[in-house]
Amino acid sequence: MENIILSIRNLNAYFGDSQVLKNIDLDIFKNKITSILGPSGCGKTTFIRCLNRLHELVPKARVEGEILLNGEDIYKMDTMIVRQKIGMVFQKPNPFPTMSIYDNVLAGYILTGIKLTKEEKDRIVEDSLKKSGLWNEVKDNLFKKGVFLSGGQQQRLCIARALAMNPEVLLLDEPTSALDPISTLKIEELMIELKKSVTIILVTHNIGQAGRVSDYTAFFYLGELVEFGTTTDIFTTPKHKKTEEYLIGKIG
Amino acid sequence: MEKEIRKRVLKDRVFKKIITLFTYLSIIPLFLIIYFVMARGLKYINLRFLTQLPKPMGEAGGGIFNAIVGSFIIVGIASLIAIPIGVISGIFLSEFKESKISEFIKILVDTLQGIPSIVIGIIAYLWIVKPLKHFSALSGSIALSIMMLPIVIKSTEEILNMVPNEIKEGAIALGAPYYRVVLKVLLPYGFVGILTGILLGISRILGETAPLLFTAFGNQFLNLNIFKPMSTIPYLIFVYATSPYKDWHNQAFAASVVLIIIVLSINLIGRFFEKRWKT
Amino acid sequence: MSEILENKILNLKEKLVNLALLVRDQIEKSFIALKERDKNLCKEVIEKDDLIDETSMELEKEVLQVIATQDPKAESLRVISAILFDNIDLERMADHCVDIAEITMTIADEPHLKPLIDLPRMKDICIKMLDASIKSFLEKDTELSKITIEDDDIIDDLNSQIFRELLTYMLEDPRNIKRANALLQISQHYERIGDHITNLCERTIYAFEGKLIKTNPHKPRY
Repeated sequence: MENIILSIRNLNAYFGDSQVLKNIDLDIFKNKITSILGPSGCGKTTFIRCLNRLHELVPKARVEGEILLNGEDIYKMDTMIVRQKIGMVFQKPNPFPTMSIYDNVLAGYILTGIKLTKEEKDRIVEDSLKKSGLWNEVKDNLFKKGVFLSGGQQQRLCIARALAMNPEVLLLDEPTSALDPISTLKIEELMIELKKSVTIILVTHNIGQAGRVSDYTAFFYLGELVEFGTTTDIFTTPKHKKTEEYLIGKIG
Repeated sequence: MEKEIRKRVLKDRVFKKIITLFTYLSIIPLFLIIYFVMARGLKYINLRFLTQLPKPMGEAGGGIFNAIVGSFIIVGIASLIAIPIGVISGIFLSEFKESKISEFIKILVDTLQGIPSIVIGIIAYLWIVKPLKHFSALSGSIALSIMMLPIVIKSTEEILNMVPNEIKEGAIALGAPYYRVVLKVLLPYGFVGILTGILLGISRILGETAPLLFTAFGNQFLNLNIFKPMSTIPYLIFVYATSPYKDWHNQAFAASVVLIIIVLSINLIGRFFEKRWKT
Repeated sequence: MSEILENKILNLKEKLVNLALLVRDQIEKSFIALKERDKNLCKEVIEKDDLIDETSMELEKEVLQVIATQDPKAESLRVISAILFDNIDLERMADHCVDIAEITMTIADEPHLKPLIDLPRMKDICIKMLDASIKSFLEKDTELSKITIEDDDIIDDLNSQIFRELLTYMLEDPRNIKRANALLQISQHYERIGDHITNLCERTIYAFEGKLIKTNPHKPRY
């Protein structure tokens, strides 16, 4: 039996009066890649933004329900701790333009006021950049600004930045949709390597990508969780008509 | 058909020529002013002029050292007041766009910008000079800071509005408390723009005369006490230019040149930082 | 090819080899059961077929999953497709072994009609062909496949030979008919096994050269 690291119970999310997520019940398994699939507007982005409590920052946004990380309700935890344990990488690579590559990787510590010794900093920067496969490309230019890298490299920098905080869960919001095919492939292979040390939740509208890398798939439609299962089961024998229609391209 | 095309090409050329002509027309007054002032005043600028105090009324010679020092002190204090309040207000307006307070502040700022400088001077007189019973550099600084405030607020707000949302979200997603998002991400990102706004404000108030008439007044002597009247360059220009002494007229022109050079330098420094930061 | 897809294909190949080894074992065992007239060994072979069916179904399911999730193209697709169809041929070969065992059960109580000479040779060639076909698939060696296909002619010749020989036994004495007939059927099963292995080789050639070859499965007997 797989280990459950994140438990979502009865999650409902609203923007003002409009309900975006309806009664979501979902378990995320540790050290596996779970992909969240669905057509535009199905609520998948809202869903992961609830997981790191980003959703509630939007004016008039509301959340009901429970999200348990290792049994603890994240809505009862300090947001700083939640976001350290559950990191996020965004669709558009967003390295901080005024910081060097070195500082970008350490940004999580800088921004939360955690002090580190020089040795610790060097080690974290090297480890994180190695884990995200960027070390060899930037090790001689650590003190240059991050915005000079290519799109794919910038995204790997953002991944390193998230990994530097040693999160338990990594949320990836369409991480390759703004990248070229080769960078996309590199990041897909990276995800498979990373899942050994961190649990990954991947939002993607790219069905092929979900098929290639994920162990579990959740299909969302109009704010509801329609189906959840192993990727191989969902892709070969989906139980719901809507799931099948989405997979073959009839909807979305 | 040919005729139509030729007509249009002609119209196009005429249009472009008119635009160019009007552009040159608008620059001409600026060049005329600079030329006129420089022609009249440049020759009177020398080290003595810049480092000596004014001679008593009627006597020839002397310098504007106290006015230069006074301008720096008064503008300096005004900046110290206006920059923190202005930048923080600008941050507030940018971050909390929807709140009613923001709308209210915006209206205030726009109104403030529209108040004539002399009126601000009179108000500062009523609020500060009268209760303290004498003119002071501080009252002048306060008046000038009120004038500088809207400029700093507006430019800060505009610059911060340009920070891409994903940068902010990236910082928040790393667990940053709000004040660190502002200090470590927003402000550095907008640093140049905010600095430019500040420099713009400074160069604006450097030349303001009207408010100083009722507040800092002027001082023949070098004064470093902010609770006493202090001389400033524009004030000195006003007094000297309206006096009957030819020597003072010349000094007024020379002081004008000095003022123009200072303002131009500040603008150039602003441009320099802008370019350097962008690379 | 991406590393992800490469690993999945390697995994499928491993499973195919496992299945092939199980089938190879059945071929050997069913022959020994015949030679030694061992009814217990026959039962073992028959029961083992359940495991082979299960393994085969698992492999089929996994191949479909890889196709659904990895969207393979070109050679990757042909290789995966080859595995899917090889699966079927191997499963049929296993069924033939079961048939051989069942037939053996019916004559195991009687002594051998004649010393077995050609049947062991057929069995040995089947084993040789099976080993070669799997090797050629794993090593992408289409030349080996082409050579192996020719061995099927030998099996066909042996089959014809056994037919003629057993015919004489049957004509000589009606009491031989039961056992001769049994041996005749067993020979035909080996012949079918050879055909299946030929399919494996043809598919390997298609996978790596993209050329479809269909050889004539039977030399006419009349």
